Amino acid sequence: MQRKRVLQAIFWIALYLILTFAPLIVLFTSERPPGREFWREFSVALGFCGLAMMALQFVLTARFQTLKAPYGSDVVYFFHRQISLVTFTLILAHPILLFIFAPSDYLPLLNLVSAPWAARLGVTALLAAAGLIVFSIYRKRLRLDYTLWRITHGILAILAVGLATGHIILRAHYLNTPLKQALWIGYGLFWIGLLIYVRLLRPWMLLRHPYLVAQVIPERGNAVTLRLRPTHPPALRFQPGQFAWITAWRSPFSDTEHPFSISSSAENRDFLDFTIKELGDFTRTVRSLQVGQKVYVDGPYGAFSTDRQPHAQQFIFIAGGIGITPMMSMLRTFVDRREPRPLTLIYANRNWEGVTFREELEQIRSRLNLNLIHVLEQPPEDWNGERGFISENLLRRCLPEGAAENMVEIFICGPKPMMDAVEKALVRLGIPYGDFHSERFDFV
Amino acid sequence: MRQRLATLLALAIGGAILLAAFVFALLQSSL
Repeated sequence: MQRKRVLQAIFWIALYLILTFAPLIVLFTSERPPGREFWREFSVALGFCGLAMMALQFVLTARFQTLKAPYGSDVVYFFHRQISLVTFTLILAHPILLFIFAPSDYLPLLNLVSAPWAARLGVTALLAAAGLIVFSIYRKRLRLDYTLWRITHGILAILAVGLATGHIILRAHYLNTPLKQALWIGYGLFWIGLLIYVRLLRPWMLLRHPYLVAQVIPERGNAVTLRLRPTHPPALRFQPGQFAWITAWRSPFSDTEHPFSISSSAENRDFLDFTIKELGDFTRTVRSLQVGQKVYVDGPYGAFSTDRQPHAQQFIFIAGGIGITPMMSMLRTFVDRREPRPLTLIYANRNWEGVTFREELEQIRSRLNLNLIHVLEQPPEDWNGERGFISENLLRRCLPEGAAENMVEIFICGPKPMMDAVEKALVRLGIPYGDFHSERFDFV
Repeated sequence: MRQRLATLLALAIGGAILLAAFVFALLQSSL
């Protein structure tokens, strides 16, 4: 199981590299145009590879579960973000090298009024790519609403790739043989096909199978549970801990979805629960959803699930605040399956009143072999439990014996500072990297 | 940790492309 996943992971990375190098490979395997100076050729090669990488960015975020499963969705999104910085550096180096080594030939092309169309498209594509980077890194600082950012991101991405493709077609120096033309036409068709699938085909499938709001249940900790019933039962099949994208108030074509962990049991196919804390623009409005209202659910996604670790002898869940939702799905599923393995839940919150699912966790404790450890930042005066944050010291005391010997699988979900601290502490405690799993969703 | 690996992978891919582009330019400019 584990080995298969590693092979899958290597396969996707190899395919990524082949597709990135494809322009250079094709240039070499067919008739080459006359050579030019080294720097000009170097710059062009960077441009070609940069364009192939920009195109592959669409694949990384197109929600192909088979692609994401070996790594976890959050890591694929994180890679999308990191590789975009590398890609932008490469495509920025393309004109900069030309400006440095042949300024008299290339600097005048920056004047978009007098420049030929190939240069106009190239410069505009670069500006679109710069916009993508700036809006994504500084979204919060620019106070850009998430929905507006997503729409802008999609438009700028299509512009950047489309205009850059136009740039190389008009420039035509390296499109002198049918094989090279076929490569770029193939890439173009692939992107168009991908866009049709992501923007039209999948939303159309969602539109045909909506869910209806059955209940809006207020929870502790300023959270709300949204209970959704499928109009075409049963509800989607998922592994406990996975998440789905939700669209409310709009059609699935509107590109205004939001990712949330499913909090109900995977054994229950009558409804899906999503427990959402009021944190941002969309989450604040969840409470106002009306019973009977249509909601579209695209999922399941993610590799953060106990079902993917069947060999584990015991599980440890480390949750902070609303990070409890995927754990709740796993625990409820375990109750339904009468899970006998030992479980530990370390659950950190600010105060006792704000502990989401507090009462239900007590009930679950009596039905499973569950060691439940609450950690409170601001405990009440008579509190006898753990205080403060989840520290290395606390983990050392709470982790069961054998935790460092490949016997337990640890799941971590919560605010970023908590997850960073817990991951570092687990490494220091000698827990193998492959034994802990985390889910993060705060990249833009 | 997995994020750090993702960052390293992105940097390694960037490095591999720089190297490939360099070799390509060497060969192509000598034509």
